[in-house]
Amino acid sequence: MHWFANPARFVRLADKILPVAFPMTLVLMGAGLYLALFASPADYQQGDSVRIMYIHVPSAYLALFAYMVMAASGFSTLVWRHPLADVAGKAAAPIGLCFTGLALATGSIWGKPMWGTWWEWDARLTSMLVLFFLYLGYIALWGAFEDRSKAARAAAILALIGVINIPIIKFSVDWWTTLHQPASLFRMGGPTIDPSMRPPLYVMLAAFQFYFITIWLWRIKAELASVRINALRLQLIRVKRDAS
Amino acid sequence: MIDMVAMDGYAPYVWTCYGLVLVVLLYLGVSSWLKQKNLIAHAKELQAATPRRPRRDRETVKGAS
Repeated sequence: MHWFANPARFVRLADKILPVAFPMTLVLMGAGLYLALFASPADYQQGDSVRIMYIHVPSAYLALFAYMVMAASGFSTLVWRHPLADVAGKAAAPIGLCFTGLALATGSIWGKPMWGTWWEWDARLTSMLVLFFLYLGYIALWGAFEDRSKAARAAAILALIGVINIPIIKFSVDWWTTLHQPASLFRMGGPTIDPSMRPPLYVMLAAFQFYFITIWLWRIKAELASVRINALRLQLIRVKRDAS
Repeated sequence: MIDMVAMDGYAPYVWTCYGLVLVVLLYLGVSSWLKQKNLIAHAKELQAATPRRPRRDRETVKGAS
């Protein structure tokens, strides 16, 4: 784990992963879109509106996944003061925010023709909205402190407190009576979703996962560069002051 | 093909969702890529402009040996 603590070494590793992850994203996304829109059957009850599910489920999965990345980063920031951890968490947050927004929006647009309403305050939808605000709060905390290490600590604490929301989202459909349907893919006893709908869903899940890796690594590299820029600026000021 | 576009009457809902996802993912992707590209270039410029600190320690070692 501490092997990654060296930013230069991490960037070298990222530069090895990116030439694979980026093309994989494009290929899988293309294949996923084809399968989801053209090469899969309409649902016997939902008709073609079922195709929304192929982007809704991966968005929701990535919304939770990005939060787990953020919480794990927060944990290693607080416990081991791992120098890359806060960078990794900060880089994951905007991606998670986008996916949470997309899960809420696509769910809502699907809900209108299927449920007859854009929104229902049921446990799944409400806990997902809470996740959206947790992301916003985390990003706002990063901007609220002048001192980087203070911001990192505050954001890490919020990420760890908010992690309680993750099992609530996951199991909300089992614990309470919700309008949202229960899990049909990630469940004990295997998936119950029709086999004809599995290929587009699995390919889309993989595409979104590779998309996350690509964007996350780009954002980590950007953040590391910006830390470096700040350090170099300070050094330049010091050099100029010593010279005068 | 026309059937595909019509989406069984669900066209506005299905295409809005796919459009939305595409726009958001493209925006996040392009902006993240540009950000890392520009910041890394800027860091390299600054690195080149920053003179290396004089290594006093090396002198001492030489003097001691």
